[in-house]
Amino acid sequence: MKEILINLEHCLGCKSCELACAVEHSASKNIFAALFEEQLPISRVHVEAGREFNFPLQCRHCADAQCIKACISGALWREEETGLVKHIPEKCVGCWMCVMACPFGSIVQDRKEQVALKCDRCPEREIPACVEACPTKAISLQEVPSYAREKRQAYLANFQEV
Amino acid sequence: MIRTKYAIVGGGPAALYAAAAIRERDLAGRLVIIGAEGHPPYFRPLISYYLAGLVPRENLFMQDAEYYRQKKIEMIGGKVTEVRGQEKVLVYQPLGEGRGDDAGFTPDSSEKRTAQHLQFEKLLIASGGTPGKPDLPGIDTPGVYFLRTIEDAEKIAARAKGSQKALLWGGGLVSLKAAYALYRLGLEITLVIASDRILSQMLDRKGAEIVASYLAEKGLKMILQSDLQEVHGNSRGVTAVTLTGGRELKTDLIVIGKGVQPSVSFLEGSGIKEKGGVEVDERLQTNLPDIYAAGDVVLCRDLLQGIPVNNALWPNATAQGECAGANMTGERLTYRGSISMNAAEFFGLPVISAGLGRAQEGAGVDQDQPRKSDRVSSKEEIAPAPAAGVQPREIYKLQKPTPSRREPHYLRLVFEDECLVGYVAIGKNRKAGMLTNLITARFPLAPQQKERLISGDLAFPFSI
Repeated sequence: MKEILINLEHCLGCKSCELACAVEHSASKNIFAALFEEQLPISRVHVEAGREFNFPLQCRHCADAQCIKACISGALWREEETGLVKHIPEKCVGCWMCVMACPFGSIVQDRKEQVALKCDRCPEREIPACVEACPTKAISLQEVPSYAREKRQAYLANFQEV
Repeated sequence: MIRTKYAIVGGGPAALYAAAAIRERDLAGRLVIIGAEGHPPYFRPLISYYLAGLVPRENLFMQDAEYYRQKKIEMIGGKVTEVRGQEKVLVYQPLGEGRGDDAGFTPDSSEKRTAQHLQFEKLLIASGGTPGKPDLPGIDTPGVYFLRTIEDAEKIAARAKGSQKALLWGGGLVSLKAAYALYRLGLEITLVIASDRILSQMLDRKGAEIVASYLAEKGLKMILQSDLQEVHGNSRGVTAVTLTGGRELKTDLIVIGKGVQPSVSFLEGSGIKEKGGVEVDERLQTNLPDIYAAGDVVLCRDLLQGIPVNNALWPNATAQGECAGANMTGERLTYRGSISMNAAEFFGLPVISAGLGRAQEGAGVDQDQPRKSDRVSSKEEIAPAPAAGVQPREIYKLQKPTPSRREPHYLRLVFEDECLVGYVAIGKNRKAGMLTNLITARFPLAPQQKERLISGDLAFPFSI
């Protein structure tokens, strides 16, 4: 299964992913039109920026998802085919048990509609909006083993003769 | 007599998560759930939303009929009256017809009303809790309810039609959720609370004050440090109550929210050890082999206090059910223990509390943190030195001033040495889960990390 993976060294904290995520989850899927929508679009990825390093963070679709176990309304569930943690806003009552449980703080609150929001891995797209929007390729969508191989090779390159 | 490999007593979330965990590992062994409510497992915390008309009845159920068919999970409507631990037999009273018409639930139509026996190889006690009914003159008057089951919600909804005033007895989570539902239905709400604050099991004094003043603004009446003495009624049910001190209050319906106790009475003589809750080891097995327990009925290790505690909460029940179910199939999973935690929105105000969030001010240094200009600073109070043997705690409170029509924002952090052991978050609380995780992981914070938390900077990932 492919995962959204982050290269911390490449993230500049530009928040392009936040913008792209919000637009993708707007009604019009167009940045200019989205600005005039009654319900302003909300990003499900959040960039922690301005500290020692920058870090875009979205739902990790945990294998042992605390949010699902905490959900009192059946809004959060795991899609068997994809392994993704999915959320049904129509079932959500906005009790924030998932917010209390998510160790990454990656559940977003839509306070106006009183429902939780989270990364849905952009079901209508092949490449998620945040991945596509990242100008430095800090966010990538790939198989974990291939990501690990890249990391290993990068590390081994340190020992190459100059 | 029914013979089954797996039997589960109780039809709540712990039962369902256990059944699912069993079926992940063993699809063949017969699995029977005996539920006393006559419904398949449902989202109990949703019933106040159901009462308010915010959630339709079909959305209450955790799985549909197809799920139980596919997973070969049999459900029987019955009240277990006896467990013979050594013989591995349990005795139950079928609910009879007219119940159990919900999706996936098989009403037992064989022999009505006569006690049935069931032989099991592995048993899970997941019988949940029972609301406490105070002894009081007039308590059995029609119009006095609990809010624990789907039927309770339906009865309250029926009475609420044509009622003007509702009285909530108790100031806890259930009372406040019931209050919100009845408020939505247009009733005038009064809470009668024995304690000196609302949500005394969840919030510290300051946090409770903030929520209480918010609720007062919404039109809720709260009578603190008072209790019911007598319930009065006529042929149409409850009409009024007398409070301690003699004050009389008119009301059309009463909801009792005086806490819930583990349902263990049927375990008498079973040989299963219980102390007002079933005792379990770290694999959630009781003192008897092959008999496990999970959910609200259990006393299990509190991660922070290190002693068996009844942390009867939804996320704990599901996690325990999952662990116990796996172990019933022969796996050896360890349940790491639970903490007390809860989240809710009260009339639009989100409130989350976890761990020792309401830990007493008396046990350490308690200070309002005057770090950032936008925070209210107040004088530092040094509480009395903690008693011998009590872990000294540091408590920090961050509070933003609340401009009119804006929601309050409050964060209380409780530390023991370098570990976060509790918090209360009122208002915006996106990063609360990260704090919860710091508590359950017993993560030792470096001094600068602790500083950062105290300053209100909850950015992830500060653990690196």
